[in-house]
Amino acid sequence: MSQRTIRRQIPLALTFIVGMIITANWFIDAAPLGALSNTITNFNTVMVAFMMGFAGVNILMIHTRRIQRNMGQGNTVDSVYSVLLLGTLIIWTLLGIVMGRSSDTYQWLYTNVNLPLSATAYAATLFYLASATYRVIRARSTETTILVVVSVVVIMGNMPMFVTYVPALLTIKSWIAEVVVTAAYRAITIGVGLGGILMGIRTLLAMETGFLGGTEE
Amino acid sequence: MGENGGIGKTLANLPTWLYFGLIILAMGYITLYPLGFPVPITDQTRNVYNAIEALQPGDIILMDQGYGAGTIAFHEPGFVVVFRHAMDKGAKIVIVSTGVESPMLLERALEKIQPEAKGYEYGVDWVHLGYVAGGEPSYASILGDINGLFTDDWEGTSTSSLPLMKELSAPTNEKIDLVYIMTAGGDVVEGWIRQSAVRYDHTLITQVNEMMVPTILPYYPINCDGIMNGGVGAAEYEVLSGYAGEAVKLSDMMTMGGLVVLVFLILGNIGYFMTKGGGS
Repeated sequence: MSQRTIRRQIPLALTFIVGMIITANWFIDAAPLGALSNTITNFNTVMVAFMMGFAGVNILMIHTRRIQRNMGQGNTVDSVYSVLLLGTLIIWTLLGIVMGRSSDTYQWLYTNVNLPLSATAYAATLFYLASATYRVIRARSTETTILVVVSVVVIMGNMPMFVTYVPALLTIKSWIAEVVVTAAYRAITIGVGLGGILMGIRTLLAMETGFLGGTEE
Repeated sequence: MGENGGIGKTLANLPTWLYFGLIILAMGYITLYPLGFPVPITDQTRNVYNAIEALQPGDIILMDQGYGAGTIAFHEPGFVVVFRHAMDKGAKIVIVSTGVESPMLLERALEKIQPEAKGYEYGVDWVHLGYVAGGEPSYASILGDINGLFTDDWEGTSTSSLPLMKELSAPTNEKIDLVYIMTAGGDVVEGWIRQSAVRYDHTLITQVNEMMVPTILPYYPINCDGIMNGGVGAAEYEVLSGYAGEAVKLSDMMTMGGLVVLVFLILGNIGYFMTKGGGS
């Protein structure tokens, strides 16, 4: 079997077959087709889970090399972050495998280490949001003036303090979100959907081959 | 111009430490001395409430508990109050997670929900299946044959030994009465809308971050029946259901957070106009 067949024609044939089964299952209500489609989507889940493990190995290799390179150059400071990353990755993986992901120890570590760190990082965005709003949203032109006015109305419309005393703010905010924003977003969504259909057809017909990698024709 | 320019320049160029300090003071004050403003109810949240209220005893809800630690402050109160409301209606609950860390967060929520106190038995009235990888195709798998995808639950118990999972034999979509999605992920709700609401005409409700709401609105209220808008939506739901909880307590903080952003937005613009000679 030639390299071209292995690298190009077989993957394209598989793409066509799988794509046609999944698409046909959407339109045709037949139990065998449904079962076949389920098997394929289940296989996708297994593949993605495998890729996550593969990504872990990849991180391990990249940062091991980075530590070696930095230590060789006497750059110990940059190595610290890689060591921390690898240490955390290895400890969490070992704990999960040895003690079980639903064990009390694993749960305790997650709740008392990862959860507060993540919640703090997310909460800190308020500072950056306030800073960015203060520095960037200024009525420099007609367009930005509209942006400032809409921002003020939407922010006030989201705050119970103002809405309680000026109920019209909620109505105006809802109108902006559900009419103005939605009209624009629907147009974008429909455009993206049409583009997706075209891309799907081109992929099924082997007119899009970028996912195979390389540039061989 | 000179004096205005001076004040204007100051307002337009407040030092970072000042407004970061003011944010800390404002949030600290409101935490210690909550103001207790009433919570107005939006139609989006009322529709979420009505979808749960319409459930009959024995109906099955598929919940995607897909939020992470970063957004737990407002997602968890929403999850807790919807779970409690669903238990009041006698609905059965199937929990899956499309967020990789989400199953780790369930334990916290369950301590607040206390399903056993309502007579809810694990495996019979509710199950927790854990994380599923694979994005949108996995949603299709869940709705096609959930037992084919999950052979064990989160604790490692075989799903074939759980009575509720036997009720969900293929085709699973025919046994699901409501789909409830909690996520901070941009394309998760849209994926569920395509695979569930559009394909099987399921009633679908969601709880998302405030910044995600515009991305869901094109589907509302046809394909997405209700939207709980972050912490504000959770507070509204708590008021509607009568389960006053964390979200109502947090609503003052959310108000203060918005107020801080608003004040700086106005101050920055006043400063800008003063330095420009009143906008001339």
